[in-house]
Amino acid sequence: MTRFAWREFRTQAIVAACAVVISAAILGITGANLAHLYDTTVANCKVNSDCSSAISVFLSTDNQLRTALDILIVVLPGFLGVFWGAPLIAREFETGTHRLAWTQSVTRARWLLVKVGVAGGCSLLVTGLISLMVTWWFSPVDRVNMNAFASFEQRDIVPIGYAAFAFALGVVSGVVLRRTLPAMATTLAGFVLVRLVVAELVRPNLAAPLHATVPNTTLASLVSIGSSHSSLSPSDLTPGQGALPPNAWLISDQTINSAGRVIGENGFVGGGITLIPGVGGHGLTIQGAGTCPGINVPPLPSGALIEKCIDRFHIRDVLTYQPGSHYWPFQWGELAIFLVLSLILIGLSLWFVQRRAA
Amino acid sequence: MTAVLETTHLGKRYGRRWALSDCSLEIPPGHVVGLVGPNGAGKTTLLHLSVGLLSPTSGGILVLGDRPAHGAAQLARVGFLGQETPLYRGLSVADHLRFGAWLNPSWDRELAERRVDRLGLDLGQRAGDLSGGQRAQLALTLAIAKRPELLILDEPVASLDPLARREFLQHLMESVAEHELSVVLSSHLVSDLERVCDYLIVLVSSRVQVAGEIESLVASHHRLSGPRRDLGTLPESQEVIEAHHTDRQTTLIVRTDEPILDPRWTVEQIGLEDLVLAYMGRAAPSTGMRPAVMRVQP
Repeated sequence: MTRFAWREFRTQAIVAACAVVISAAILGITGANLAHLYDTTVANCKVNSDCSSAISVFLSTDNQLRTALDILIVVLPGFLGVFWGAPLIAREFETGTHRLAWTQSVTRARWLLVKVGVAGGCSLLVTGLISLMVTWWFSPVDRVNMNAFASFEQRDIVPIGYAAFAFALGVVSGVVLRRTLPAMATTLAGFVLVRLVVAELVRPNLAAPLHATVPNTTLASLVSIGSSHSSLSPSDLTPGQGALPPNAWLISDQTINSAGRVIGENGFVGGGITLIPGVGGHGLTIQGAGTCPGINVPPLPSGALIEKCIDRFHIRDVLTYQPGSHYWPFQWGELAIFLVLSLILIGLSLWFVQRRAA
Repeated sequence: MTAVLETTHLGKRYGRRWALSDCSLEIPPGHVVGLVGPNGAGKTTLLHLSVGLLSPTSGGILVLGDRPAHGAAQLARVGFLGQETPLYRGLSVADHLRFGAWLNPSWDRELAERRVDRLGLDLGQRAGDLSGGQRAQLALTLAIAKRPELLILDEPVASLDPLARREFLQHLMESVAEHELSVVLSSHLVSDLERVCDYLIVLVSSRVQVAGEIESLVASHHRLSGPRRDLGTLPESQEVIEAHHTDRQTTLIVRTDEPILDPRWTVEQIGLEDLVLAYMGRAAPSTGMRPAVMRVQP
């Protein structure tokens, strides 16, 4: 059965192998150049004491290729699930060849598992190799960005989990729906949905997050007379730059007042900071905190005055984040989640195929 | 000896419709069995149940003494050729022979190659490009080279032209003679079955109407014609299968193992086709299949 499964899958396997080899060649050459650029500019920028321009030059290199690779690694697992997983069994049902296969001297269970093993194994292998290359290619960029979680889904081992899940979802859709196109559509929709649920609801809670309380430094220059301005957050939330440690993943940013009450989230404060014009007016008001009576407008208050007002109400930001040290446990955790889901789906397919009428 | 196919009150339901119900059969080994019935009678359902492509809703079925498709060993003992003879359209003839060899431990490679050679099939040709007759022959090759004890064929010649049909059946008969296979073959055409079968099952409206060796079936069925008379006056040993009355005359098809002694009857032998049609007509009074036959006037 294994040899036949290979024969059935031969064309796809050859195409995939060629694609992997071509990708390896392109990424090998450009990746080596990128690494060399990093070594010669960013790595020793301190000698020339001009790191910011060195970094900006480095980060604008190979922009198109970067975008292409980002898309490739995001799309690949779903693509393989839709084009390899979904038709694997559905096409047999559509053409009636399952009746031919199921009446040879091979049990349905073995038939299914071998087919899944061969095509699914290739799917995992291709995704793993591409992810390995992409991760290596991006490594100097990631070192500069210090924002590991921003590309969490596009690096290292989680793409393998996604590939397994997309493939298994394709197989079970094909087994249940018995038609290729509906199975492909279901696979795509289900895959995107589960990925979103895991990214939004599961991943942030894989481990208890850390908290940091940081001063709030609103950019006073943005405040103009007679208008509302709602942004009230630490000046820089880029990991490694300001309030957050390198490679941290910011989960929430809550602005609190002196009483510890939350008055805003992610830089946005209820009604914002309001400047009310007119002599004897209320002056500068921060919603949820209070009004600074000493400030009258016009004239336009200076940035220093606004910051003083913010200080007066002891407004701070509480940052909730996953530290960079959680990156690898999260990679393994998410891989495990998707692998377990895949095994469940394959088990379901097995159950369906054995009990389903032909 | 173990029956090749034994069913007890076998039934299969799709949703609310019974495709086969209360089917009890016992087919002795060593026969070429024709399963005949109109379209939708449940022939395909019965055959799919016997190769394990379907599982019964009720009742039991044993094929060569074991449950259908019960493990690889049982699968190896039964060859199957499905309706429309599905093949892998994109794979070549040679690929199909490899498929057979890889998936069947008992594969007779020499036999398969000899057959393909004799059929003049091009090993490199894709199955999708073969003619209907060639596809059927290739599928038959796969089923025979597996060296099964029982070969089950579902309407294997339905889509073939008369020439391909004759050739296919001829090949089938040669293989049966050579390998001492038991065969169950379905068709809605009696003429196909007459040529190859020695055992007949008539299945109508999901029920078995009659089953037995063709020779004895033909010997025990007679067409009687004579002056019009009441059916109640017939001896008990004569089972009326079909009755047809005009004002003056009564024509009957009866089944009996005893000689017909009543001198008023003109007794004729009937052919297999008439026999089958009589059973089909009897079984389907409500379908309007043969209303003229069914109108029994007292």
